[in-house]
Amino acid sequence: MRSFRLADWQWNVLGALVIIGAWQLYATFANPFFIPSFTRVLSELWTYIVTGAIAEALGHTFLLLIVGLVLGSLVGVPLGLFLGVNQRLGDILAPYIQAAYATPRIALIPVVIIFFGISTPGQIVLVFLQCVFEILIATEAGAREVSGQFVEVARSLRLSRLKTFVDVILPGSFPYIVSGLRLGLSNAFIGAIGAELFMESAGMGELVRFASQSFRTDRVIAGVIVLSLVAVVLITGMRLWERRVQGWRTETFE
Amino acid sequence: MTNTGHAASAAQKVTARDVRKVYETRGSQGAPKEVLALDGATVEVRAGEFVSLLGPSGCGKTTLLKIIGGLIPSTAGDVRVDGAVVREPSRKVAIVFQNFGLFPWRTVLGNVEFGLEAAGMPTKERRERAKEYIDLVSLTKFTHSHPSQLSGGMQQRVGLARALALRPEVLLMDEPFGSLDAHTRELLQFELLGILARTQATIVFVTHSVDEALVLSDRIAVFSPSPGRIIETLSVDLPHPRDEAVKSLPRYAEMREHIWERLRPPAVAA
Repeated sequence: MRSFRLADWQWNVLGALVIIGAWQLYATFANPFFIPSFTRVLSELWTYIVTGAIAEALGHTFLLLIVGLVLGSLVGVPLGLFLGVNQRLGDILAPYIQAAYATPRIALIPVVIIFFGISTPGQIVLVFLQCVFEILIATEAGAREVSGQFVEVARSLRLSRLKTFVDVILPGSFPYIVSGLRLGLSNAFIGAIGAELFMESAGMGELVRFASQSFRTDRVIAGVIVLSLVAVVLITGMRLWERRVQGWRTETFE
Repeated sequence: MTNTGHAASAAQKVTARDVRKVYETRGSQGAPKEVLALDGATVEVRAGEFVSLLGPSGCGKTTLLKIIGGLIPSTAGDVRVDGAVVREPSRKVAIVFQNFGLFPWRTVLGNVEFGLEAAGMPTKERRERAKEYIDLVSLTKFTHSHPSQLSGGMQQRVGLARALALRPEVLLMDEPFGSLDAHTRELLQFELLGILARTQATIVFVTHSVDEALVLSDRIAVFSPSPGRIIETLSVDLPHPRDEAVKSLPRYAEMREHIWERLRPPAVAA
C-alpha cells in the first residue's frame, strides 16, 4: 500500500477546504441568522470591497495604527535605549514598567476618554498606550544585552561614549527594536479596533459594530475576515523584516 | 610624587603592586554586598616579556588583567604601564577577550579597523593597516565575512588581529583560547608564538591551563584560589623557539609537576 503523503501547505489547504465544506453544508440547513453560509459571507465581502466600504474603513484604522505606532516608537525606542544603557535606573523603574505592561490597556479607555476625548486623538492615545511598552521593553532588553556584551570591548578600543552609542549600542540593539516593533504592531492593531469599537465609532471597528447591531452575522464575519487578513499581512511583513535584520545572527559557516 | 621610586624599574613595562579588589555587587532584593576578588597581588612584567597569570577559576587573575587594562578600577594598590598610573584604557595597551568580543554586524575588516577608526585614522590608511593584520593571522580570504560565518578559532584570530592592528606596546590576553576545543587551542598556541615573534609587544596572558602557560610564557605568576594572591612567580627556562617537542623535555615535566604541586589545594583534614 502506498502511504498518503502531503506537504504541510497541502495539509493546510485540505484542512481549510474540509472546514469550509462542512460550514457550507451545515449552513444550508441552519438558521442563517446564526450561521450564514460561506458563499453568503463571500458575497457580502465582495459588496464591501466594490462599494469602497472596506477601503474607507481601513483608512481610519490605519491612521490610528500608524500614528499610534510612530508615537510609540518615538517614545519607546529612545527611552528603552536610555534605560538599557543606564541599567541602575532601568532596574529601579522595572517594576512600574512591568506593571504597565501587564495591565490590559483596553481597561484604560474610560480614563483616556476623560483626558483626550472619544474621537481620533483619544483613539491614537489608546493605540500609543497599547504598543509603547512592548517597544520600550524589547529595546531596553536589547540595549542591556548589547552593552553587557560589548561595553568592555568598546572601552578597550578607546571608543568615545558617543561612538559607543552610535556604532555599538544602536546597531546591536536594532534586531531587538524590530522585534519590539512587531509585538507593538500586533498590539497596536488590537488597540485601534478596540478604540473604534468602544470609543467613537469609525473605521473597521464601526463597520463590524454596525453589522452586528443590524444583526447581519454574514457582514460581521466578512469584516472579521478582513481584519484577520490585514493582521496576517502586517505581521508577516514584520517577520520578514525581522529575519532580514537578524541575518548576521543566523548566518552559518559555509 | 617624584619618579625616584620607579626609576630603578625602568625596564619594567607593567607593574602591579599590592593590588586589592573588592567588588560591590547586589545580592537578592538588590541589597549591596561586597566580594573580595584580589587580596594584594604583585606582578612585574619587563618590556618584551611574555608573562602568564595562572590559577584556578575565580582566583582573580582576569580581574587583575582588567585592572591593568584600565577597564575596572582597583580598590587599592599601584598599577602602572610605562611608569604611568593606569586610570583608563591606554593607547599603548590592547586586549584580546575570552569570548572574542567581535561585533557580529561588522565584517572581519570592520572589526579589525574599528579601533583605528575610533583613533581617527583616515579610511585608506586604516584599511591598509587592517588588511595587513588580517593577512598576518591568515584570514585574507575571510576579509569580508561576518564573524558568525567563521569557526571559533578563526574568530579569535580576528580578535588577535584587531588588537595587534592597534600596534600596542602591551597586549593583554584574557584566556583567549579558553572557549576553543583542545585541538584548535594547541594549534593556535603555536601560531600565536609565531605571530608574536614578529611584534615587540609585551604580553600578559591569563590562563588556567598549566600546559598553555608553560608552552607560551617566559615567566608564570601562580595564583592562590579565591581571594587571589600570587603565591609564586617562576621563570620558564625552556628553549626557544618552542614547538610541540618542548613538552617532552624532562625540564618541562619537572616544572609542570612543581606548578601542579603549588596549585593543589591543602589536604582536607580527615
